[in-house]
Amino acid sequence: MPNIIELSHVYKAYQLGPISNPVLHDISLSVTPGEFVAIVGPSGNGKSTLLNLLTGIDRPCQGDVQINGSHLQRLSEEQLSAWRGKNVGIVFQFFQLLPSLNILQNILLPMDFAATLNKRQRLERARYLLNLVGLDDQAQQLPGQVSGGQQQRAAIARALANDPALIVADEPTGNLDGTTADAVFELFANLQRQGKTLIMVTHNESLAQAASRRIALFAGRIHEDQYLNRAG
Amino acid sequence: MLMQSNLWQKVRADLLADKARTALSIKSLTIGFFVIGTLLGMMDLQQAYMDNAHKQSHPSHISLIFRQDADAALAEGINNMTDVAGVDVLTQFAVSYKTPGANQWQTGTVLFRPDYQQQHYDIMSLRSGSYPTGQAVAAERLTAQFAGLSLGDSIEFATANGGQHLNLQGIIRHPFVKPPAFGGQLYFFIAPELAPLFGIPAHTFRQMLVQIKPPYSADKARKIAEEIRGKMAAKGIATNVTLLQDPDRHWGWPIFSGINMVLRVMAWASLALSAVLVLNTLAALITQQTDQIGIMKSLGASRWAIAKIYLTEVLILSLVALCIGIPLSCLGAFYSSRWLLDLFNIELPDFAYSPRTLGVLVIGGLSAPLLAALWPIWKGAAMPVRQALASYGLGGDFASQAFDRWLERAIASHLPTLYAVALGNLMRRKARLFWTQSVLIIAGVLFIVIMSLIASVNLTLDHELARSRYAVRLGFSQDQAADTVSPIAKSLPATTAIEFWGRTPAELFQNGQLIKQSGSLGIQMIALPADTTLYQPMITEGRWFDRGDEQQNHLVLNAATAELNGLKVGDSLSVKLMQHPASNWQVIGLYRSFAGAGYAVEAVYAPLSTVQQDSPNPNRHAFALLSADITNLEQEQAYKEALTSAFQQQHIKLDFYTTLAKLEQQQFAQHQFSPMTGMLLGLAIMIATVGGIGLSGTMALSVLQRTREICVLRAIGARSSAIFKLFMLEGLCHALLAWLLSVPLAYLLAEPLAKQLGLITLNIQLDFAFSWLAVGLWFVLIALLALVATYLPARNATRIAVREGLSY
Repeated sequence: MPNIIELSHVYKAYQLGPISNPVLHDISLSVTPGEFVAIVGPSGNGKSTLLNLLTGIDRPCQGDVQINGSHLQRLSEEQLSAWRGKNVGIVFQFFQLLPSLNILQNILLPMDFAATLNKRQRLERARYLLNLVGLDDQAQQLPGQVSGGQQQRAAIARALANDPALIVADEPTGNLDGTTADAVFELFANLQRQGKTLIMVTHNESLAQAASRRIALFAGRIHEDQYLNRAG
Repeated sequence: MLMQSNLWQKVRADLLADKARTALSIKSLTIGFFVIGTLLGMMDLQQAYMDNAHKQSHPSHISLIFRQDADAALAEGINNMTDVAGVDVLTQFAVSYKTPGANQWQTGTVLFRPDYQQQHYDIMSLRSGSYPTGQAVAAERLTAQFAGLSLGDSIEFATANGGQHLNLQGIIRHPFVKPPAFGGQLYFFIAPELAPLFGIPAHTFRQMLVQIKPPYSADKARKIAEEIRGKMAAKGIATNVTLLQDPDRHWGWPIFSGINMVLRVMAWASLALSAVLVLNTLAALITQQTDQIGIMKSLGASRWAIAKIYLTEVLILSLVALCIGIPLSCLGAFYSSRWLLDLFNIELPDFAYSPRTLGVLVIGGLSAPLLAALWPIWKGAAMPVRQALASYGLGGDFASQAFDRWLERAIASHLPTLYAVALGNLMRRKARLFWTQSVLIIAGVLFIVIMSLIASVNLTLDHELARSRYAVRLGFSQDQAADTVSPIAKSLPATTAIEFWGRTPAELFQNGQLIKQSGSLGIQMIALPADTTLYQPMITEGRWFDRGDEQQNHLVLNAATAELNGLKVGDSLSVKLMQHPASNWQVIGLYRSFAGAGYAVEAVYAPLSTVQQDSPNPNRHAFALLSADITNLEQEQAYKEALTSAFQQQHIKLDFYTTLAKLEQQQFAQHQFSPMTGMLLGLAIMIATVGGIGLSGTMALSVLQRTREICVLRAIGARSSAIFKLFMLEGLCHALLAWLLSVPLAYLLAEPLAKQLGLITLNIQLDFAFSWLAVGLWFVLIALLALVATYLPARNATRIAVREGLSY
């Protein structure tokens, strides 16, 4: 089975005036479908940059980023937006639900952009996802009317809207209390059991330990790449 | 010291960090300063130069135009009157002329004074060339401009000897002419020795200019005018027109008072609107910098310290805007004043500015934005630290109010998601929504009200026209016998009926006092058949004439004059007709005049049979009213020309000033009001434009504030077209909401406002008509405005880099 993620000698630096600030050095990484990868490391060492490259939000200075068969650096911004909608589900630390749409509409939004299902099918899938994350009763609520944990669960449902092969989460429990974080973690575990590939940046050690693979980044390089809890 | 330098550093960084927002604020303020500076400056320059030019012309206090040629010796008698300081005489008459290259004869006015070098009152000053001598002519300054005449041009005049070419020798400024651009006549000047060429007897005059001895008062001038009319009437000279002039105030002020009221509203409205735009911008800036405010407060900054930063930014923006706006507004005021003053034949050759306006601009320009920004800055600076620092998300500011939740439940949840986002985003920042909508709603209401005003003017004119069942009213230079006129008029197949009216000067007294008149050119008695079918003015009280009024001393008076003198239907007046003793007359009706703010002789109507009783020539009449089979302007023009030609062949001279055709008059009346209604429409469009700028600013800020949201949308698969459509939809929602709110408001306000505007700016009472066309037009206009205003911000939204928006 081909790898879902292939990074090959990827470099990334940011220009700050006359100075080039390298963030990622010679990153080569392969991820097979169904893996749950936790990316850990101190702040400012390139974790979020790596996630941005995997989702096409940023482009490498050198190297190849291939996700689900697509070489991202060859796609235009328009193509990347469309590709992202269909191939990647992103879960943010601060939920980032649109405040003027209710929970159901937030989940419908990526499906409206992708336009691969008809209206009835979109509604059915949205309701299914709401049920999956345990938010059936909150469908008509606005984000401002529900708790942080509920918002994050809604965000996860939104990330799953177009049934992407890859889920990317940046500190998904960073803004939640312990109990809520556990509930969200359980959701992620469920997703992995369903065969989704999960890439998660986290400072939460218990979450990191629950992953099947742990990659530690330090000073922009892969310092450690360890398989954990591998089945079989 | 360190705090101060840090303060300036923060101010500088804020202003330079977002150049687009800074530029938008400066632009908004500059536009406001430019408009207010131009308009106030223009009014100041106008007032100063108009009154100055008026005084320089040594205006007469009384100007009388007579119906007959008066012997020059009569002027001497008037000059010797106790209260008279001095007298000038002149003659003016209608002529046919052709300018170089023209094929058609046009009608103009020729004027001459006994000695151009010895003018005392209403001085007609030489602008170039020389005063006319011998076989030469001079042209009035506006005439020369309008007709493109230059010194040396040859102009052909129709004279007693046929066509005569006269060379243009000079350009003269007449202090009291209606601009040709607004339908005024073209004026030419000749030497007095050329008068017999045009059939004018030597050593006669038709117009007298009188100054009274100080102290001047309007009542005194009116009384002396009455005495002069009496003296002239005793010599058989009837007065057609009496004009009383204020020596200190230019005659154009009644026209300008309406315009200036509009200009003042425009000026202050624009400053207020600019302040609103700044308020919006500041509120957005504060919102964007909430986290910075939180950090500063956590480091110990006081509320005042934080407020000082943003107030300083507002001050700098105002200063920059003033530096740009002041010179631009000085130029704007100068050039627009020059144009407006030129309409009144006043030159403004050298650059001039109004120091008072500069002072207002500087003080207002610095204080108004500061005052507008004070509340959002003070409120923002008071935000608790915890609240200020917890703002990395997309904001949970929607759903905090019951209205938001209702909106979502009732409307948004049923819409496609993109439309729901647009509608929700529209309602998120309610204060900003209020200010943006206010401007657009005011513009909409004003537009619909003004269009209704125009519709009402047209309706009023139509009603007025419907009361005139004649096609052409012929005025004769000398009264003509009905037996002479009828065959000539009836020789034209189009003529269906003819009616004869008379005209005579009249003095009206109430309790021994001459009544005040609302008209600006004196009163004349118009005598008509009591059972006339060809005309009836709008009767506001009492009744019009009927058969029972034959040979009765019954009057129908102007309603405004009646109000001015406290007269009612049933009251008696003492009326003195020319060369007759005074007798008692009864007021049986009041009519509404449609003179507007223009200069017109006021009519008091009486039965012809009554006036004819004591007339030496009862069968001779001043007017013939003809009804004809005419349906359009071209037919009417052809009919009028045929009549003129027919009477010319019989050597009967028609009086140009009192011969009028109905449809032509209607067109003229509409044109008379179009400068004012045009200016009012300009006000509405100006406010709409500022509303559009405000909307553009609101949308630009919306994009700036929702950068993260846009990036999230990109992250979940939104293409540029979806982002673009989202913001365009929001702009259109603004337009639709403003339209929905402005229409019912306009419907409620249109009638009282339009009628009030009609009185103040046009000086007429209107029959009201609501313009539903304006409602539709406004919908199209505001939608277009929204599309234009939103296009750039929407396009900018599609160009935001995803990574930067998602970083914390």
